[in-house]
Amino acid sequence: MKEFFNIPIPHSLKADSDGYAFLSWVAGHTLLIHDSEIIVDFQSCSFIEGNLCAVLGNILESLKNRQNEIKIENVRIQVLRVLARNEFLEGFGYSFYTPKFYSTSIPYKKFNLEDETAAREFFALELFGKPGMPQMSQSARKAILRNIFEICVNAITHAGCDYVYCCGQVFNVKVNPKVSITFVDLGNTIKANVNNYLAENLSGNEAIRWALIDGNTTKAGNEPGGLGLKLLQDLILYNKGKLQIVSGSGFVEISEKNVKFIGQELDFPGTIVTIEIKLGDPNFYILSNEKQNTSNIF
Amino acid sequence: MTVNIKQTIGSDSALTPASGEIIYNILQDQIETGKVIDLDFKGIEIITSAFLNAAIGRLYSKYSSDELNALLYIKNISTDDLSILKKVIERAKEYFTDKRSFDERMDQNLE
Repeated sequence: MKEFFNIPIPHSLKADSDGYAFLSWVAGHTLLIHDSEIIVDFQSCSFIEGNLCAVLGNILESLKNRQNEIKIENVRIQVLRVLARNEFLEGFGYSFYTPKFYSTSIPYKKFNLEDETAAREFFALELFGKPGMPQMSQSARKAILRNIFEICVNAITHAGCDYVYCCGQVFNVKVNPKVSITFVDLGNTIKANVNNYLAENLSGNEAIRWALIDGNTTKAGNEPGGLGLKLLQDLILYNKGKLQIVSGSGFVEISEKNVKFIGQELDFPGTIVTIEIKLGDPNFYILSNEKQNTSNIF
Repeated sequence: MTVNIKQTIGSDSALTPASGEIIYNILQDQIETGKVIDLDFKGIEIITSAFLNAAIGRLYSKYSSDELNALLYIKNISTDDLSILKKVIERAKEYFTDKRSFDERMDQNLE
């Protein structure tokens, strides 16, 4: 007879300390479960930030890979619409129809980046191609897309995972329109990578702090690195957006105003990156149009 | 010779270190034989620092700025991508300078 494991989704699941603590609890407590029945119980849940489906989905997919049966139950209608629009439910055999034409979701998806054009087209369509989306300059769009892929490539390179999972939610409102996108992998944590590289014993927050310093990289061999997170921080500053990194016991939140080293009690066995990009300023990323000389560039 | 990145990697999106390595191998072969290369970015829609590190940054492990300036020419790169490439070059120079001095210190310690 199969054993049961119940995942009680809280009343409100947001990208904050409580939300990440809950997701860390789920990831940690289900890490060794196999051949069981997993009940994902939404009975108490009346609000979920859609982008967090990336984390929940990655955890549930890895449970499926360990021959667990996933059952999603007791979903309230307002939550059901969110989970249907971002195509999270489809991945777990839950059928519910909702019109997607005016969807403000970036669908739940896993990437391995083998088809680079397809990956770019997905984000170009799902992020900038929706009806009624605020228009942005070509440079701003490119900067956002580039940074999305910097995150994805970093996750796959450093975490040792085959896939990175992502999901996003567009808040296309008149005042301060924005998009939140979450990326997640259940691979090596930043703390493990940094401590292994430095032969140190840094805390989760200290390891993230080290990784955020311009030029620091845990890549070995003859390939420089350490620029991806710097570019991402630059984007957040130009855009006045927000960046959250959760990995192991580390939880760091970066905004235009400050860097908060929050930390968390339970380890997350992987890395979550959530970016919040403001969509109200179409020209936030302006580069000089002056023709630049490329001779003697090296 | 001209190396068009889009045609070579078969995509208008140059994202991964694996794609960068394809370009690196071609550049390295040409530089080794002293041939001039035009690296053509025409048709590239999006590029990451991870790709540029693997394709170009890594060249500094073997070649000096003078050698690269003499043999490698960048063509049709957008202003946005050029600013990223410049950062990658700057970082690669620092990285390999630091790495050489670190390796030399390690060698001296081991002698």
